[in-house]
Amino acid sequence: MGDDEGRVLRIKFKPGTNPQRRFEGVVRILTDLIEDGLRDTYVREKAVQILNNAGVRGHDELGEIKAIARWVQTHAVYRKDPYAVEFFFTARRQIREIEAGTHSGDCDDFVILGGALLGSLGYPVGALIVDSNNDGIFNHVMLVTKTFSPTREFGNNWIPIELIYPQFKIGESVPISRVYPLMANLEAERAPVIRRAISGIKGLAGLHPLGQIAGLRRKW
Amino acid sequence: MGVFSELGNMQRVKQMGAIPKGDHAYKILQSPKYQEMGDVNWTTGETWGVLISGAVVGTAAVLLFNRYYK
Repeated sequence: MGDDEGRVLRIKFKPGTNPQRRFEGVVRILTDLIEDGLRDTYVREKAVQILNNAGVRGHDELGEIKAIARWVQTHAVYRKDPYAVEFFFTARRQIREIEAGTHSGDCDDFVILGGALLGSLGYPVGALIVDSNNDGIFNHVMLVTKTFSPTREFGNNWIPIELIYPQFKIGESVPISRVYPLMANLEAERAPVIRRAISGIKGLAGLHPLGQIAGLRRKW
Repeated sequence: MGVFSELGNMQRVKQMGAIPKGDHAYKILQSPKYQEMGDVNWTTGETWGVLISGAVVGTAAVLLFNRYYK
């Protein structure tokens, strides 16, 4: 697939950049891409198709969440990012790659895809950044969502979803010592995060209006 | 390797077939501080900045309109 269809964002960090600083620099991109994806009619059509194929009835909120999570777990292919490079794939691009049998992505891409699909169906979604090694460093990201009506299984609680392992049911996770939730804003109005190549911390600062005023520019 | 490309301590997990799972993240999210996720946080400067800026711009627009069009 060409880069014109669903741009890949690539962030390069200088060797030795503090992991916490790298983390803080990239997390916002995750929710921005979820927000872009959930407004994409292509993503919405795919989400509805997944529910219809799974036989989920209307108003079955938990059934919808489970069907989307299951589809991502069983159709997306987990591949690590290259060394010292972070790739982000838009939800549209990932759906096309899954349909073409060429998909690859890591946990952040899975969250972008799952979040965009669930968000396009009206659910509140976010990225749940977690520390799974209990070493004080955030090293993994899960999806988090909730139903509007309380359910017997989860009540009104937020539900973490592990998307990279098909054997995980919704609500299950690997051992976690710390979480950092970052919610997608369904009402955010801004230019879509596409066709951008961002280089390191300076590139991320260029995303912010103040950064642009200060002369830090994005590469398009 | 990307920021989020590692998961779990492989020295402890030993093999991919024995991934430990539980409801750790779910339990952490039951803390009261996470119950308001996604809601408007009225305590942030950003919220008040937007509200006050909107009020200032609105008031100025009304004053200017009244001054020049009455």
